[in-house]
Amino acid sequence: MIVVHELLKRFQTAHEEIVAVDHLSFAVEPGEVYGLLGPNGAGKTTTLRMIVGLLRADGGYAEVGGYRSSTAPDEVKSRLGLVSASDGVYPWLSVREMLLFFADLYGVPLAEAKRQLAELTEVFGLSELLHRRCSTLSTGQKQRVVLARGLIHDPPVMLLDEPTRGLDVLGSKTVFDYIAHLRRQNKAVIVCTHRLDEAQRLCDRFGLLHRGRLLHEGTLAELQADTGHESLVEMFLDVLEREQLSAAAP
Amino acid sequence: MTLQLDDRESDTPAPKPQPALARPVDAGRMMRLCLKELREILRDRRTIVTLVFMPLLVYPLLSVAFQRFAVTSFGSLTSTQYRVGVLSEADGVRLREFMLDGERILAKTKHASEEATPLNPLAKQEPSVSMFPVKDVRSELVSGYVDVVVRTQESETTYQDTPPNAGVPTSKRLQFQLFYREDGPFGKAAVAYIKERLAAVNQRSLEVRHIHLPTEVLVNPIRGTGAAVSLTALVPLILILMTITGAVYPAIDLTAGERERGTLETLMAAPVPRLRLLLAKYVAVLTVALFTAVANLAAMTGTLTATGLSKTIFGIDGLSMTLVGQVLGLLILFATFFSAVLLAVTSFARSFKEAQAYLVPLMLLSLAPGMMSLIPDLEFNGLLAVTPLVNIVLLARDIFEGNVKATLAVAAVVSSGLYTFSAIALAARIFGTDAILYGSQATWIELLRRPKTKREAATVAGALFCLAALFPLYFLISNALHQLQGATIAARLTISALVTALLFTLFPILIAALQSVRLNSGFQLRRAPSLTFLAAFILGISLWPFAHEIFLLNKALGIGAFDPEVFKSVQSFLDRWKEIPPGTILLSLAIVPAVCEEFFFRGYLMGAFQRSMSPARAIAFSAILFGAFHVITTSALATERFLPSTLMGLVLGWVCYRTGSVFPGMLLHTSHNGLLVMMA
Repeated sequence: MIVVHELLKRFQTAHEEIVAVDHLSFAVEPGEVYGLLGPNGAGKTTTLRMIVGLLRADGGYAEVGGYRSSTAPDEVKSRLGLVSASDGVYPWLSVREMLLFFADLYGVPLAEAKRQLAELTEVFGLSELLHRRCSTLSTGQKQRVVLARGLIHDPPVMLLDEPTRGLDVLGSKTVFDYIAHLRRQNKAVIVCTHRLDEAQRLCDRFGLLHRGRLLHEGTLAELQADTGHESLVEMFLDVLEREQLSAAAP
Repeated sequence: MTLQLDDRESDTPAPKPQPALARPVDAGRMMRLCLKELREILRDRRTIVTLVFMPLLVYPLLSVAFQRFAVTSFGSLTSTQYRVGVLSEADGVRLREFMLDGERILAKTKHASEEATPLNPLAKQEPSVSMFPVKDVRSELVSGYVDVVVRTQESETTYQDTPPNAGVPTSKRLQFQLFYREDGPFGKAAVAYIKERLAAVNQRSLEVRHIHLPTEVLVNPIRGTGAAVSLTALVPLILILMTITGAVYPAIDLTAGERERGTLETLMAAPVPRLRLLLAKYVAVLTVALFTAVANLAAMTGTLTATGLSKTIFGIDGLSMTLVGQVLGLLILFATFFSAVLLAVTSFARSFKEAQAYLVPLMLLSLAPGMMSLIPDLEFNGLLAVTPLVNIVLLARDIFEGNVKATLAVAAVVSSGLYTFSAIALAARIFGTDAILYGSQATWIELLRRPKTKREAATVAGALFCLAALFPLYFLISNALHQLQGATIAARLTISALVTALLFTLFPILIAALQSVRLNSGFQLRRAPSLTFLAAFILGISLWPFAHEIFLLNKALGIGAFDPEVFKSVQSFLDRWKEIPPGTILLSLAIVPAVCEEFFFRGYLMGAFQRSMSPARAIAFSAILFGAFHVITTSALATERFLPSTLMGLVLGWVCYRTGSVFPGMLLHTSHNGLLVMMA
């Protein structure tokens, strides 16, 4: 469903060139939750943006459902739902108006959009919020609305970028339940997070990213066998330590 | 249309895609997009404040301030005094005699004059007239020493024309020549006052003595050259400023505001072209700007009428409905243009603060053209007719003064429309790019840099941008060519052909290069089957009867005034060109225009339209633009050329679409033009 092949992205600053994503390749199948993990600045968000087509890749390609974002951007976007921690809402629209607006943006016919809205209202407990203006929502309520917005057009692929950032325990649980729901719906999901402990519980496969490069990839069992560590946190710390040592070596 | 794969991907196997999901944005979705933007902006309290409360407060305050100013400037609160200049004592005596006579007649029939009120201290008792001896009409009027100058003379004696009394004089008539300054504050009113009394005398003469009218009035307005500012010129300036105020907040909120709210990324991730998103935002900004303009105009009209200031500012007729309609039309034109400019500027901004920082210099810059309407005797010429914003302001001024030239008005409206499209296209290019979305280190130059990937055809936005740049150049150069009266016919034809080639081939090629458009596909320079050329030639030489029928239809419908002066000059032109070799005439009037116009209108423009609309629409739009270009000439609007040119454009567009090439159309166009030229 999602194929990323040798994806490359460079950013030019005033003084240097930064390689944000360095020949990254991975694939995600329907019904699979893939955790793209790494510390801040690893290149996770940049990768997601290139898959969506919001950033132009300097090398390689990303395919969704057989369409490449460089040649058929609208087909790619039609198949994607994007949820980001920095997502905002339209303060003067009601929740219902906003969700139906996004359904319309994705070309969902009104009757189908209303059906989908009814289903999502039940799943996310939005019935009391539907007619409230978005500016009146609390953080947790807003997060539920944003998660519903990502699914309103029933995309086969979901991209979640730091979905639990800023959320308390209850809010995070909502996200976990959401991801489980996506898996049951047989969607291909990529979750980007630096919360490795959470990812360990949520995801089926993992890609460990550092400075734009994929260091390790596989299921938890495979990673444990590869690295000799039990948890993702330990694996990462080990990688960082070895990098520091090699950087310091003459 | 499939896009060329990026070079970096050429060695990977082509993907096997799933069935297409993306749906094009139809009219219904477009409307819902616009409604959402409008709903959002109109629910915002800040919009309501600008839309409703500011007009309700500003105009009453302005009227109070103006009244204080008027009272101070005009002196007595109890009466208006007209200052009348007379060139001789005899003139003064005659005027006084007839004025008193007329006053007596009117006093018997007139209603009681309106009382002065605190709101309207100048609405009053009858005005009074003071006479002053003057020596020079113009200088005394321009200096403002007097409001009107009167000169009298006896007109030709009238004779009975029926025998047996033929040749016998029956009565003498006194002619009153009234001179006044057009842009003076009281000139028109003073003239009307005097005319009213003289008309009363004439009326009484007719009723009582049944003889010829004893007086005759000739009114001679003159234009002032002094530094005095017409109050009517201030009115559009105020309304323009208020309209800007209404449009600024929505423009910022719908562009930079999206990023601040965190909704921009989600919006850009949706499968809707950026141009459509920007169009919806433009509709919302324009709607609010128009609401603001109407609210301000209504508040201003109501205030001026209620306080009686409308007559003080606009003269004896006050603020008529016709004038209100004209002002509204101009505000619509202005709002249409300025909303697009605002959107283009705010699209660069990454935050509210940044947007405000960009808009302050823009608004200050916009004041300069607004001030130009206050410059006396500034002629509204070809160059100013295509200069953004200045053209609207000066068009407003000329409409108020009642001396608009149709060609310049159309040039101003068309060029403003094209600039509007260009601004929206620019906004679509910038809005939601990664530099704006993510604040990447890209400079503004990179946002406008030439695309790295070659395109098969220009985008609609790019094509309209080219058109917006081409039209003013075309208009200005045509005007300049018209001034070459001293050159020979052959020289003028040659220069005209060169200019056509430059404008319709080299210029689009340059723009296409900047847009990274491939030459062959971008201008539809493809090979066509040989038979199509034969068909094109036959079609080209057989269309002239239809053109002639349309010409006759235009004449029957009264479309296009066939000015006898223009007809005479064309006839004289045709007589002179018999001295020129036929080859030169064919080349300059048939071949070059045909080839170059096809290159641009069908090759570049229609090719761009075909990227994002149906072939029928692409053919229709390019044909309409083709027809419009043939209407605008230097001396007059050749409206009779629109229909035949547009229909020709439809035929040429269809040929280009069917053959996939501009070459058969070039032959068709050339043979049609050539036949007409040789028959002339």
